[in-house]
Amino acid sequence: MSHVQDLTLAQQAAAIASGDLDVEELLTGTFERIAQRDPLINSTPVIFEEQSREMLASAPRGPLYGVPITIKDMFALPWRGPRSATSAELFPAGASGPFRRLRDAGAVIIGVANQHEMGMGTTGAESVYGAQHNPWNLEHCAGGSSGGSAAGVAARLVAGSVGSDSGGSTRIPGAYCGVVGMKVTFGSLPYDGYFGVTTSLSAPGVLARNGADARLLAEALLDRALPAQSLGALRVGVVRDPYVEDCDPDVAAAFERALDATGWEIVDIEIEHLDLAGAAFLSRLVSEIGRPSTPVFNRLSVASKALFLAGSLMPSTYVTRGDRVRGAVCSAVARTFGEVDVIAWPSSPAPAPPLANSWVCLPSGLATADMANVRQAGLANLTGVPGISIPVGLHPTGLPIGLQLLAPWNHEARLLDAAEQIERATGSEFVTLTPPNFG
Amino acid sequence: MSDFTTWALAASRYAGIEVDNDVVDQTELIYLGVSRQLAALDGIDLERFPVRPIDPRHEPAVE
Repeated sequence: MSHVQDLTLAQQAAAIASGDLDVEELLTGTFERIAQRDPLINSTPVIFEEQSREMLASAPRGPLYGVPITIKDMFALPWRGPRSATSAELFPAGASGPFRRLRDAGAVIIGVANQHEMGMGTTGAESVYGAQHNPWNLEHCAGGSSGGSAAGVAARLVAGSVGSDSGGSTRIPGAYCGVVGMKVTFGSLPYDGYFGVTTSLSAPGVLARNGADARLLAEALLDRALPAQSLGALRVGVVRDPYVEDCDPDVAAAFERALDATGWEIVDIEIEHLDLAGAAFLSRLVSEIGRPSTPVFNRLSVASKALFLAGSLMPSTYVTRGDRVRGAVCSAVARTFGEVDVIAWPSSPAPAPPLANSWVCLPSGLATADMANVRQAGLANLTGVPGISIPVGLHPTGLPIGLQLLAPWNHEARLLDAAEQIERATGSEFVTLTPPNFG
Repeated sequence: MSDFTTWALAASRYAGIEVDNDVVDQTELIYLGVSRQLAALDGIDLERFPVRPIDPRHEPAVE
């Protein structure tokens, strides 16, 4: 018999509901799987054996009853404040909004998912718990900032994890680790107790093995049904320059193959003012960085300290100018969604770089993975729209490739329908693959 | 000591934090990179980009 964590999230929930899977057996099996596999990837550094059994004992018979999940270190739990992979709690312990949604759905939170320190990077290389390793190649990064969530799901420690996304932090690790990563619409669930509460860019999100699992977890987070619908032929808008053209050629080819397989109508589009969107995004990103207390700051990595200091030196005039552009870009994106159903381009322009050297080689030249990734991801955060990354291929290096879709505000169901349609069109090949050492 | 280093150290002292040379060196790299990107905002035509209400929770009214 296969391990209980080889079942998908939806399979776990269905088997529990039908009485075919015992919740205690699932929980115990999950802890065993983590103990066995996590030393290789460092995805789940804090385990809640006692608290998860207490959660299970009082869990309501909701859609996720008894299903073990991990949660990023950015959400307050009744027994632990979020640390965001730093040395101390940044918020007090308590039942955060996202925690309440998961608890009320019957989910069991079994541990903290590792992440990039303070959420300020897309590699997962910096963390007080240590770097997260990519299950597909342990020398490569898992992505960030929700790297532990993605790595843990890819290595089948858990079938679902809750992350967050201020500049691609669910979609990029999803792409790097070959799992689905989805950011929900900004502000679409209670943010109390969420470390991203003070920003205008950040939204919680989910990481799961496939679209059906992401739907189940997102329904719990959003506390509303996201019913699956047959979409028929979608009209997909693609902005090619730079989002496809300036990608690793194998990434671009996998993106094109997946879209071609769907039979959807693909149209090349332009979004007005998109050339300024990156600058507008950065102006907000650097201005919204909140410095932690001095004792926590003093124990941060050099990179995080430098990001804080650089942000504090930026003239605030860029925020006011950036916001003018942001308003124009939001209007332009809304107009675009009057012409196409979804917007698509690769989630990340290159596969996961090595932990020891996080530069990526693009047609335009060498770039830091962070700058390259936020270029692909930032539009969803700048505008607030939901976005999803779906695994659509393997690079010749053996590392996964992700395709990103954006949908209008609060149209998460459309994203998930489209994701599942891509899965079907590609024979579910890339959502059922497991990393070589974790099959 | 470069002008940037002087500035960065003064800003960190003002904020009540201590940083070493490695942090200042990396800060300068980040600052230069981000400044280069933000410079695109210097040239925008303010008439063309009026102040609009921004609420990323919802679709804006299409103009």
